[in-house]
Amino acid sequence: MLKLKMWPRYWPNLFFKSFLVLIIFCCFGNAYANKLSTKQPGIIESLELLVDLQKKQYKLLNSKVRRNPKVLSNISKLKEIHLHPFFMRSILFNSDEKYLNLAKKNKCLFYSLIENDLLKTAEGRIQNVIVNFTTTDGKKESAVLTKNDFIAQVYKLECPNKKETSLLFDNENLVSTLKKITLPVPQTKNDCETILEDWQRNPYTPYLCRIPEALRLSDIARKKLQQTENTDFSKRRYYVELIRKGEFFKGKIPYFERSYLNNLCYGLSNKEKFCQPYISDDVWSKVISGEFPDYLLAPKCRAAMNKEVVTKAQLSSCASKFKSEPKYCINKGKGGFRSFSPMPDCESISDSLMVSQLETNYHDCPAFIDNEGMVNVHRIINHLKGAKVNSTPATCVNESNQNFANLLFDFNYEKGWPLKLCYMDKIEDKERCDSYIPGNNDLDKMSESNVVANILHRTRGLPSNTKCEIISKRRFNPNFLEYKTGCYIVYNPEECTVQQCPKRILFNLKDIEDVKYVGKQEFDYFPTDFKKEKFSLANILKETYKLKDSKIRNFTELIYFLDRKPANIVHGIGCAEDIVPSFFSKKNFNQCTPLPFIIDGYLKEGSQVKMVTRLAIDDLHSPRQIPWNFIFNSIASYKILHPLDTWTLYGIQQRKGDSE
Amino acid sequence: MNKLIIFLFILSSNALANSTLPVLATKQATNNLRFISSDGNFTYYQNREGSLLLSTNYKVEEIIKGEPGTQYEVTGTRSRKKLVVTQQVSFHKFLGVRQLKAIYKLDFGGKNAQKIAMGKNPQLHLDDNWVSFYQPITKTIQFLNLRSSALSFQIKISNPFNPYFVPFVVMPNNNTVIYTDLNKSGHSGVVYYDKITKKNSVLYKGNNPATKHELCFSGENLFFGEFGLNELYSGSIISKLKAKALDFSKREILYESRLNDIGNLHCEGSLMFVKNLFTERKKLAYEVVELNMLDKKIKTISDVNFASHIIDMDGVLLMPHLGKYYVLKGKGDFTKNDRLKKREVKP
Repeated sequence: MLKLKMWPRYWPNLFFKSFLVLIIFCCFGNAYANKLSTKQPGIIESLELLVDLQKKQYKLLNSKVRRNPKVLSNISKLKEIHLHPFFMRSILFNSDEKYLNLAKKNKCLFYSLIENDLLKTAEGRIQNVIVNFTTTDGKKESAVLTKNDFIAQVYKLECPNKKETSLLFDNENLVSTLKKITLPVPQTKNDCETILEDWQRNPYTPYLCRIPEALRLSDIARKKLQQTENTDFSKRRYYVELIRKGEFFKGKIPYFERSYLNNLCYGLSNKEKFCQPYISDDVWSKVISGEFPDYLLAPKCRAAMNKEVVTKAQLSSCASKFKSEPKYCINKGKGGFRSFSPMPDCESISDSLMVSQLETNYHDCPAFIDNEGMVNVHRIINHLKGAKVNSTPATCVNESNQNFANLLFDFNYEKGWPLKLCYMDKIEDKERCDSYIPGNNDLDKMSESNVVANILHRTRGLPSNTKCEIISKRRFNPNFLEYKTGCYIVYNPEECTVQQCPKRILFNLKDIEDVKYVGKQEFDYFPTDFKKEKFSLANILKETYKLKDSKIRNFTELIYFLDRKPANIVHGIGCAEDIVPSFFSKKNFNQCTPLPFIIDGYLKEGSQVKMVTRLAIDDLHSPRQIPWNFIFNSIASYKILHPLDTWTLYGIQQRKGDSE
Repeated sequence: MNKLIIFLFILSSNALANSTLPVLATKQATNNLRFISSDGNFTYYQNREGSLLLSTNYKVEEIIKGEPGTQYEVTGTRSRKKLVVTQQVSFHKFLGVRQLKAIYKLDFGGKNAQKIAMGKNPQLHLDDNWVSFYQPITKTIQFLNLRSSALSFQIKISNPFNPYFVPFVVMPNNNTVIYTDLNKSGHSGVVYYDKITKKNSVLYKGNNPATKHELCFSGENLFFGEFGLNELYSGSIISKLKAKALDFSKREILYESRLNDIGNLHCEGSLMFVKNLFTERKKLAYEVVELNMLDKKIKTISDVNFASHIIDMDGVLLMPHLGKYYVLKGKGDFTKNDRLKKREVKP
């Protein structure tokens, strides 16, 4: 058992290794007597012993040969040059199996793997190589050369085309070279295996795999840099260099290409690993393979893991969990982003997201917002703007409110924003009310925390840089020193929405009771009055984002509209009791709970069509499949109650780039 | 061409069905109507100005004043003693599922409405002596005794799972409440509350997060519905318990299905619910069905393919569909009513 633990992870098959040793030894023709070797362990000896012995031998050789550094150009009459057998052995013991497999294919691939830092020795990344060489006068010698010198020499002697390939992938030419390379996405299992075999033979593969490797090292370096002492200059320089390299690739290479290469190089010697994301028909695997955008998985994964940032490994782990445990999504995985439950299962969500057209590169929290119309509008704005926000449960309330308020302000409709904090202004000797946007946001002077701080500055003469923090009752503990001083706005998350939230404003633990929250977020979503039609949210959206007005009257129009453009979405209002009758029951005549929703795709299931729908109370990343008949019924129920008898289902299509 | 054929096929499958059931016919426009007595002697309706009005014997009186955009709902029971009205101002401007509404009480057919609270989903219990309603933000069910406010009490439910959950509440007697709740994993359960000891105990606990529990109380019996909400937790069960012996392990199973029915149980007079008819029709379809409690046979009542609710308006059973009200049981034509006939209201 101990021995197993000691095995390197890339050492699955001892016999394969031995086979490789023999192959490489033959390939590079070791004609030299090995004076350093005192004992050659056999293939059935303890692996621990092998590794240990190899390290000792390599160390001994290295210290000996280092006394004889050479510049290749200084070696006269060079006849033959080979890597030293112990150096080779060190590569075999320390390199990743998938790259060793590639190295087996031919020696030129082997050299380019060294060139691209994909092979390692006991010392890690190869910077110098130890060689044996023969001169024309028959003199045999060992020496240490720089990697670049060695590569230049072997390319000249053995792989003349490689020099050109190197040039194609240098930093200056990388982007244009990548544009010319096709990265085929497999459609079937056979297709996938063929594509992988092609990549295994492709001379470009080591150059391409340098990219995900650099990105991986860059991520590791970022973490290590934080833990490194400021005085350790050499280490810091090394990590900064790795980070810089990673950033360079990130900046130059688009997401799809990066994901494709990551998947290719990760599964280079394993068909299952490489093909799994492509032959799977779930959205999660397709995000991992780069076929689908990252935002279909990342925000959901962040919420599920309760993290603000997720690594690629964590993303893969989420994908695998969502795929293997479809029940998980029903009641788990939305962290503090409160919304309607239960949600659909992961498989159903995946099917919906495959055809979903709404851009969702953020996360919102409908249960903390009272007016569901605002949630829908926030989602529509973010879709139209292509917004990308790293939302957290602490910021999601402010994001929705700010987005919504800005829509009104940009439309010169400040009057429409109702939320105010009122207090007695002693300077002016009258009550003064300042608009605020609920939630924490240091950068926005209108955020609730900043407006409260400003009021305290005006009314109590506190310094102008006073900061207030909105904090949950659970976290706020007046017994802790950190909460004894300063300004806190305390709320109970269990009993709180924007509108219905009894909050306590505390400064140095004293209640501030003369600041009052006033205002109710009431807006016409669709016009309810011809006179005020201009200020309905649907109209403000239409004017601000130059949208085409498309009333959707029936199923045919809905399907046609969604198919017409990949960014087209549909929004509407229907009675909650009719859209999801299993969740909301109707007991009274003309009972209706108006609920906004967005439809952004459809799925055929036999003869039935289900609409991919996000109710405004739903988790943004967990769309529901709702039969068209229920949606139609819900709109019809709401229509008869609407003051203008409006059919409340409209398509959203931007005029920009419209060819029609 | 093929795409067109597929599209036409789908289109025909998604076509909205017409029903052979009679449509509720009233003199008043149904969009304004809120309640009509089964004998047609009085009608509550709302006008464009946002007021609730009572119409009786050619006389119309305003009973609650409102403003344009106000929405009313009227709830009654078979006891016909009281009515509960909810008033929601800014109905079209504040789209909040959890928004509290003003709750009024009035006598059955009466005109003196009295505001009693703010809440959601009000229900009359025990011969209309009690009214319960729910406050979602504080997660409390309030119980008001309409004869003596001193008897009023409240129950705080647990539900840390779904912010939009509304519990089913039944009151078998003055000191007992049975209600549904959710635990932190979203598993539904049935809870018994004793008003005297102020203690509650779990009578039944579901085993997954995607099954809803419905309670329907009718005289001596409590009907209990378990309806799956996800295909991974598929199945529906309707059972019956004696209200005086609430032992869920001994409940009598009246109906079982492998499919997820919508449910929305109705149990006054007859037992009805909305059933998934995929097996029978080989396509997704939901209809109102009646369950015969003796032979446990199912009779399909509606024929619209996508039925969703059953509304009991003073004994007339209605099914809302596409903005119309179809009559499932009872009198459906209120246009020929002899309005001069003296109305009969139970004391």
